[in-house]
Amino acid sequence: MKIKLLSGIAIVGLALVFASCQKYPQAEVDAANAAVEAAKAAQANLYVASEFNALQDSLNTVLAAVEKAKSKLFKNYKNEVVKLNATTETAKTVAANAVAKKEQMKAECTATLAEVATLLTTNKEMLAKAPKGKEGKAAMEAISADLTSIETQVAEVNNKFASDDIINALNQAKALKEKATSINTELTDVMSKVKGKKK
Amino acid sequence: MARKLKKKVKIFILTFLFGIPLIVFGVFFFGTPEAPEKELTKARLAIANAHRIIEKDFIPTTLTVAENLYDSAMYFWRIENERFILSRDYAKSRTYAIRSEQQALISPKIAIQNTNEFLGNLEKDLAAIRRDTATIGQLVTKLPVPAIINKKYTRGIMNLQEAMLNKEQKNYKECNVKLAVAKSDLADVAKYAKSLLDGYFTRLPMWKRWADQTIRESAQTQSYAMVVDKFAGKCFVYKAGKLKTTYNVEVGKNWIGDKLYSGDKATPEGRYKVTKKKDGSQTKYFKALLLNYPNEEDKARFRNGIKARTIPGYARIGGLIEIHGGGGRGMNWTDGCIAFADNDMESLYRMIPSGCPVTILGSLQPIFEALNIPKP
Repeated sequence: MKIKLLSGIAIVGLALVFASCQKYPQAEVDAANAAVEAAKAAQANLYVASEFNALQDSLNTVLAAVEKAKSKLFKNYKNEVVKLNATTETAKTVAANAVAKKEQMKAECTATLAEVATLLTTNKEMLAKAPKGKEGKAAMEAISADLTSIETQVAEVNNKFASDDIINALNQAKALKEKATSINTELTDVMSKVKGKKK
Repeated sequence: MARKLKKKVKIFILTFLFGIPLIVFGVFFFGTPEAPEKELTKARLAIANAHRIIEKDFIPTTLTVAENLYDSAMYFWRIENERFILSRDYAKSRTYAIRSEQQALISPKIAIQNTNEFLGNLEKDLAAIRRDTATIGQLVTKLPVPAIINKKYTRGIMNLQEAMLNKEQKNYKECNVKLAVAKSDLADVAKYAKSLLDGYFTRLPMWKRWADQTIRESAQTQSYAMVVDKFAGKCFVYKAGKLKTTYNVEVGKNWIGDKLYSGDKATPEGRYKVTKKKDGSQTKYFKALLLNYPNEEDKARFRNGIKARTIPGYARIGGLIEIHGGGGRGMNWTDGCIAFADNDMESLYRMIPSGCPVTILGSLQPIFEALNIPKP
């Protein structure tokens, strides 16, 4: 009777030992890796660089924890699975943040280009009204050349925008706006002088 | 006897049930090699720390190597984990992890050194280009530059602005690229301006001589004389050899060099006199002082030019060079006349008598003084 009882305890014990060895969380590892890759594909490393670095660090930490668990005699991945799932969720958030940031920059770039286009139209109208003849011909020619140069560069910005190089497109658009604004100031100044003389 | 045997069997069964598993457990527990977790954690922390410190454009090779070594350490850890627990050997993984940490630890120092060196050079470059841009901008405004040079100037300025924006955003590599383009464009503009001015300023001794003679004559005759400095855009009025007043003036848009023929938009250089004072309907620019252009020297130069075919055969020498009102526009715009702001013209007109000497010259100062740049 005693032997039977002890045998039962031993068998239950061994069963518990083997039952405690969990299966490697391959699906969760793959999901976390895929989510981080998706964040990278969303250019999170460019648009939200610090968030992406933290995410990469989290993934490395949790993968190391998974391997640590795997190295043990009694494998238990319970905590690691929780961490892997959390990393997957964070990666999704980081990817969404990157997309949002990129969209924000795109909108800013589009708005800046629209402002440049408006300034170009205004400047051209002012240029047409600016004094003709020898008085300001040279300066007006130079301004006209500058406006043409801005138009050429607007095309460059559009190309960058189309090829998804949003950061550089936005910077160039900002520089163009600054130049177009300075031309507008110059022309406004000339026009006010002309008006002043007419009085 | 049977009881004794039963007891032995019991002991054997108990030993088999508990002893053997205990031994096996002991072997597995104490025989399992230690995972390289500590080393990998250290390496990972060192890499993360390096990423926090280092700007993205200055990641040194050592950090990339550290990351690759870390990946290798993880790879060999995974490989060993696939093997039977007692035959695992983490030595390779551990070595890679240690090397990874070492490379990651030296990375910030290298990056900071590179960053400081780069930023130092960038600041120097930016300071130089900002200083040069001020001078170049002054020259582009002053000099009759062709459209292509003007375009280069505009492009240079815009690239410089982009470089500054990239610097603000810590996109240092892109900043450097934009700065290089800006530098190249602005250098081309400066080179063009230099070639234009270097030849022109060889006439400085002659211009100085003309100015001295004019002032001396003003002193001798105790009368008025005017000296027009085209580069400075100034007119100096002398009375009895003493500077009485200075005015801002604007000249022909193609003002570098002497006037050669009618329509070249150049303001003549030489010693002239006021031949007529004009006002009312006699001039469309408020009030005017007509000069005796062309004088004998101008005529001789024109004839020689025609002969040498440096002046087109159909060209006329022109005339009607005046000092007149309508100026104050902040640029050189006339066809060759000298323009004053109307209020300045009013006071000049009242002051200057007919016959007053007017000397028009390129500059009274050497080029570096005129441009307010350090003496070469």
